[in-house]
Amino acid sequence: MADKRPDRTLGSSDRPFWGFCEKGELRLQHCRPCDRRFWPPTPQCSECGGGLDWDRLSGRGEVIAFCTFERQYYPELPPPVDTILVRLEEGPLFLSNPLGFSGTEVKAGMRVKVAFITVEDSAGEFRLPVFEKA
Amino acid sequence: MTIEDYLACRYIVRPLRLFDLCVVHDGGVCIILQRAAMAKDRPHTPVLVDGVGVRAGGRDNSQLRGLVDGHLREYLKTSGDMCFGMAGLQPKDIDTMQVYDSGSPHVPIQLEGFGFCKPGEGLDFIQDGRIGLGGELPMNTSGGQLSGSYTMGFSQMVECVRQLRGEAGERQVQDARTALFCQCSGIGSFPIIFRRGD
Repeated sequence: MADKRPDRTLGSSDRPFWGFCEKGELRLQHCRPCDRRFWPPTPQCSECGGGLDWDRLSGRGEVIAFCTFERQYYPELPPPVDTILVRLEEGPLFLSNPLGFSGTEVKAGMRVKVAFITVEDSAGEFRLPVFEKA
Repeated sequence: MTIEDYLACRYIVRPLRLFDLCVVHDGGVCIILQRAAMAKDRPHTPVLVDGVGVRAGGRDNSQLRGLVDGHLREYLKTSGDMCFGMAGLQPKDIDTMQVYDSGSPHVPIQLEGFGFCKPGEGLDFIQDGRIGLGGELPMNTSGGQLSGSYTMGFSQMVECVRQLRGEAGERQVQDARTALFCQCSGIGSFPIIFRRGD
């Protein structure tokens, strides 16, 4: 059985994101005229109000910040929970968890690449993007 | 608190420990404003708003960019220039500083962002009692949120008023005439310079 996770946000802007994860693709919204990328999902471009395309990203980036939750905040996530903030190659900041390395090894500037793990929330199984050493 | 007390307390979100984070609970603050010309006839020493600054964050759709990636530096610089410019003052003119501190990192970050010291030198700046009572720049003299509770920073605004009225009792900053308040977080930076109005 898959590891439990807190429930995802599943609004209309978020569903496509999880659909692409299911296929092993990291895609974020992009406004072509403004050349701006968005995360978390948003209904429209905050600059021009225009529609957004779901662009596939390289999945590569670098860790710019990290912490370890030692106190339990979600019943599904017993501590310690290592958390990293990744600056994706294309620019957006992406909050995630490390895969295959721990909070004691992580360093700012560490190069990472996306991986997908199968986990489960109350809506069922899904693939969650996490990051391993590149 | 001693350094031993601090190092003995547990981690909450590593690297932050229990004493690096403020308690969250309910509270209330009331701020009453009126025109300066009317305030001078009131029983309390008037406290004037000399400058305000605003830099709302979040335009790039992520509070983390300004807060974590940018260390709030751009937010603090922009809003600080506006606030100090309006007041016609510089950091060296500030007698006491009362700022938002939901977590201990907010304190050096704001000292750096407003130009009291250079980026990365905030921890050195606060050594040797410089921000304590009797120091060069007494900060968060009521204990701030870290030793009080989370009020979105508004209790620090109250402390500015108490200090400038000379009503702070044992924690009174001698001859305090100017106070810098700031509320800052991922949503932006909102400094105010208060001045004793008599």
